[in-house]
Amino acid sequence: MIKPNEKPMRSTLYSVILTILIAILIFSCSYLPSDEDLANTIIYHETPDYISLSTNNEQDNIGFMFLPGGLVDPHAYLTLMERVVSDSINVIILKYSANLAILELSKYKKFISEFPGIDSWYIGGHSLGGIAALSAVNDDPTLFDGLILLGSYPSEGFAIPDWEKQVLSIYAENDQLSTVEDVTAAVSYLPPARFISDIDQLDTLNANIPGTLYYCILGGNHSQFGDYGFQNGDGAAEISVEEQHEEIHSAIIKYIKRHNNE
Amino acid sequence: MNKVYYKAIRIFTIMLLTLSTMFAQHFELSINLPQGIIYQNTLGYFQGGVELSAHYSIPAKNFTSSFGIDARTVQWGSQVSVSSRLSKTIVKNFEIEAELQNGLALFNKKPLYVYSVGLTGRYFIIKSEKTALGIYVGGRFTQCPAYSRYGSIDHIFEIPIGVFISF
Repeated sequence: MIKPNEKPMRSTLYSVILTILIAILIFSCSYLPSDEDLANTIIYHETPDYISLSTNNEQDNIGFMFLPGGLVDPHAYLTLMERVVSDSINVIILKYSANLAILELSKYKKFISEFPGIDSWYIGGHSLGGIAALSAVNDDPTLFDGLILLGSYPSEGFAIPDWEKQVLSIYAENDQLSTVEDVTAAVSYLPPARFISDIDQLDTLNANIPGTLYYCILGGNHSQFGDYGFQNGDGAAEISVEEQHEEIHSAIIKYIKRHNNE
Repeated sequence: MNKVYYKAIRIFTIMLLTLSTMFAQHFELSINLPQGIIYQNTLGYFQGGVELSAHYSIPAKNFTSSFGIDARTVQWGSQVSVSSRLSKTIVKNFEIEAELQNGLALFNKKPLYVYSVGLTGRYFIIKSEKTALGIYVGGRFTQCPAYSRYGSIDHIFEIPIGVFISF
């Protein structure tokens, strides 16, 4: 039986547990994707650790490893990545416990051997997933041929200013979670910056010169880098999800293809 | 925050306060690392996340029942469940426990129902009248049926491996 003087201690314990529980409830809710079907031409394979998307072409030897944003369900990026895959790039969307890539920073290493046909790897991420991608590049600077950041920017601890490859940083005008000011304030943490105003400029730039190419999506926001509705705290988008995805898709394809053509 | 969460918290609080005044009981905290071995009927190892549990156990003559709450990270993100357990001592310091969890996968604006059923073996390393410390291992099936609308994996089978302390 509980002694009378034990009751205050237990009450305190219950309060602590309830507080922890409420904190878990508030801070661990993920965003679900909109439920759309994939095109029939895409081969979809899901395991507990990743979702792979590919076409049936064995000659596709480029892989894009994508790390989802924090507390965003990985399936929320399928509609965007479907476009990328249709341009003969294999996409592997990593899945994380609690939907937080930052909790398993070395996970990217585990699955590269499962794709022996890929001989050129790119890595990228949205928001917090971009930070985890920066960490991967920091840990393995020679493993990846490029890095793509979507609505993401490094802090000093994840800086790669001396990386000898090119980074593509796509950010959005109305993004209130990774604001234009946040992105531009962090340029010193990435290779030398070059801002481009037109995606077609990617065709004319030398892919072998280290640097960071910044491209701003006018009217876009943070949530529309994926497809999961409106994220709390974000700004309102002035373009549709489809329009934002088409710009991201064009930029990614031009960035990756010209690297592999040169 | 969703009204369902507030309701779940209120029910849990009332349950704790009621039980604490009614019976001789132990309070148990446990942590486990579920090791995934089957997903969507496919055999394959995967890390199942981390689970924290807080339970009230109420000893009866032939068995011990317990009620509590479990929070964990899982395939589809995070989830919180209310669970009930029934355990029976088989030999000294060893008991078998059956468990049923009902809860919610934590998704913004749209939490999804989840449930688990499991069976574990619990070994007491230290066992006195007031406190106990032990380890457990078992098997557990978990499903989030509505998640099949979003992904290909809506059910898993895991081996929970954990430690518990009661007082």
